[in-house]
Amino acid sequence: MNKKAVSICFAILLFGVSITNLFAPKRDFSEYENRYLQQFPDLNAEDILSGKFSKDFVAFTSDQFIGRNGWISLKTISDLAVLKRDNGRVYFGKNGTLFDAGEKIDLEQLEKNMGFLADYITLLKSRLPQLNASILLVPTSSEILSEYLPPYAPVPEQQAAIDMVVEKLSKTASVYDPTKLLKENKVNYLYYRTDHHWTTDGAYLVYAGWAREIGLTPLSEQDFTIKKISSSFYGALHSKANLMTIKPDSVNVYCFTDDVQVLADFGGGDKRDSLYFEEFIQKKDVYSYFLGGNKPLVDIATNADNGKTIMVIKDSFANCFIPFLTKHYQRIIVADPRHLNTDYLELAEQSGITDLLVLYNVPNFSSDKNLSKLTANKKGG
Amino acid sequence: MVFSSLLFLFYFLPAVILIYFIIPGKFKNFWLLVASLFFYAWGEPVYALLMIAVILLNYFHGLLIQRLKNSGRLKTARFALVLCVALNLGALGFFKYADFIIRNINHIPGISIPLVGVALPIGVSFFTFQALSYTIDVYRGDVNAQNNLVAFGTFVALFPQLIAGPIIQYKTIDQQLIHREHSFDKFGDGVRRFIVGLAKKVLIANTVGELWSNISGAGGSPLPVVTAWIGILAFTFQIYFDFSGYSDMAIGLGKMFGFEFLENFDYPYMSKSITEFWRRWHISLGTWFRDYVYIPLGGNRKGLPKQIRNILIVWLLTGIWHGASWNFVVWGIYFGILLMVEKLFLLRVLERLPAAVSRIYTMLIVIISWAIFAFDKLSDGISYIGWMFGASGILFDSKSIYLLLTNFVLLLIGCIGSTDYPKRLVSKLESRLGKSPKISTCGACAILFIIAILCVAYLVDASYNPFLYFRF
Repeated sequence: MNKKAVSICFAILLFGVSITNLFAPKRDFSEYENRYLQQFPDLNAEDILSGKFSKDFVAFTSDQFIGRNGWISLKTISDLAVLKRDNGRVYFGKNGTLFDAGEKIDLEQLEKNMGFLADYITLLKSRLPQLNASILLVPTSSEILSEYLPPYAPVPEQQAAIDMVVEKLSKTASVYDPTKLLKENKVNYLYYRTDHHWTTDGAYLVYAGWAREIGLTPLSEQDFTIKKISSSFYGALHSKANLMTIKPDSVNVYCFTDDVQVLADFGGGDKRDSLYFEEFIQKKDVYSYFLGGNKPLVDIATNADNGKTIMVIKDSFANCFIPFLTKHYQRIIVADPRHLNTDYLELAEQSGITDLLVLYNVPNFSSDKNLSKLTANKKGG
Repeated sequence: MVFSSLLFLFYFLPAVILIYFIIPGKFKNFWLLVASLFFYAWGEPVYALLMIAVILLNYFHGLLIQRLKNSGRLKTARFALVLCVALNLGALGFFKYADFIIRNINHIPGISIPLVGVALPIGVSFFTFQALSYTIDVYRGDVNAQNNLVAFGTFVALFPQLIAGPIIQYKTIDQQLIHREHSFDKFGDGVRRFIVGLAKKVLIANTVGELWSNISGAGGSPLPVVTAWIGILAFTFQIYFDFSGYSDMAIGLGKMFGFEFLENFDYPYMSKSITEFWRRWHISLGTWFRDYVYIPLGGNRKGLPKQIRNILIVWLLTGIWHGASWNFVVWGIYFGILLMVEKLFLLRVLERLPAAVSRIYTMLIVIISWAIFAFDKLSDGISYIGWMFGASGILFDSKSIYLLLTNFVLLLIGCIGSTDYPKRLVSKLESRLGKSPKISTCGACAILFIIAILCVAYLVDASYNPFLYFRF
């Protein structure tokens, strides 16, 4: 071996990368990681002595590293080559399907949340005796598409959690378990491969099942024209995956063939005559097309003109589900306890709701710490 | 700053190398000293002052001791040595052990001394021991005091071995500090060694480390036997590849700058006894304790009872050197006792057994020791050892199978990489290709290049790049 050649190769690598880094243009934002990148930190005595400068500079060296995304992909590929099937954030499933590895069911929290919900609905019913309350907990892809998971990948047992909710809350509300329906239709495109949400197809399927369950006549597929709004959706799981070779998802929207008018107040003066935010089609987070992402409170008026008002207490799974409700209710109040701090009893009572829907995915419902807000004011109010 | 970072590889190192080889010879030490102080100051700028204090303390004591000895005032020289050792150990004690001692005293009812709460200076245990070796050797007359402050400062602060060893004894690089050769041969060897070390740290240690923290951080609920073993094997490989990777990088960097450091690891996981293991694991630490504690105490020359006492003292110190908590004390004494048992009779038994049996015995002892080592809380370590031997009552669950399926290649790489087979394979290939040096050069360059590129990819990903040795 010629040591001189080795020395020169090393020098080329070291100085080549180093100089390229120095002169390469700096980026402000990474769409791929959905965050601002560290810029060259301020050079001042205080920051240097406190160690802030060195910390920020280290972040700067990796955030602004030349070809950052390519390197990260290379790391993931080599992980996969030694048969690793997760990176601590996502599982790399078959056919380019990604699963959230952080999903968990916290039995203690689930127990608490069921208690909050039971109390809330009982209190509401004492004030609004005619109220129809229903609970819809949607399993995530790891439950429905388990055969796409890496073999033996540890995922929470969502069916057991749903069964607990059915057992405990059936007396209080009608609990709909869509698992069987989803499993029977799993050959269809029910969940995004690169995002933790369900697709509009998945939402439609469950909407129809749920509607039948609570005595509504669901709209049939003929009532819609299905439009593909994006075929380049890289979801949140893709950002966690660090792998650029995965194929993007496509996103559908179900448009009513006949005239449905909505007037929606998204808060903060944002009023629209549509539930869809066209501006997100070109952005990374295409799923925010539905209801503009997670707004604390959305108040929707429709031309259903049947005197029915529904309040939906929900997480992001509801965002693509709610458009299906516009034919059935003349007013839809959408509240997200993670972002909305209010007196939920008063909100429901003052709006004179006739229906209540609680819609969460199972892991969220079993770990969310915000459901206590539902009954937080019951003593004071 | 750590070697396995983009900051070191693509900012610090190129700048240091470039200037080092441009400036004339007489300035090279000065540049290394400046660069080393910068390297040290990077994380905690204030502690550069501690480093300078340690340099000055030992530099002047070295000169003083030499002068006193030359003028025949041996008693005063001895006093100066004791003072210097006390000051060094005092600083080490204050920064590393003060809170541990206070916390234990506070267990006595009625006593509540406030904690000191200082951050541990990186590598303080390494450079204090290096400095001590110098002053003691000057007193013993093994080396002459170094008159050149810059050369001495370079010895103490030299960034390649500053934060994770090897612990260089002054006498081994005395000559090199003033005269050392620089050549492409040495530089190329250094590059190869550095890249191998980097790969050990970044590609293997960090990855198995992630597996270990995944398993050990599972919240304290009992683990199935298989999971517990996967976890402890991951830690076993993490600590070896991390630590020996650092030593490889240090030795490689040293070579690039013309130094020849002694080896620190010699395939310890191939050992056939614990006695042999400790001759192959962190050699520079073992040598240090042998030269400056065990032998001065009388070693094995003063009868068995004294020898047992000496072994226990050395291993108590070795344990506590690794960190200020009780698990390290237990860990050290555990090895002390085993070494005594081996010395008394077991070694003779082991020699007669087939190699495979004595290797399994050794690794079993070592792996159990890592479970003690890995948990600050002794009780956590003990329950983990319990799970390894079935205390949970579960052999395996589906997560164990998942972990096994997705990590066995990694663990296999760890196994093979812990032996000297890869090295033997490379030298066999090299000697076979000796007739066609072009092929062997291209091959070596290509392989090192690919490894380096992979390391960079892992570093850019850098979601996980912990440094284990801040506690030493």
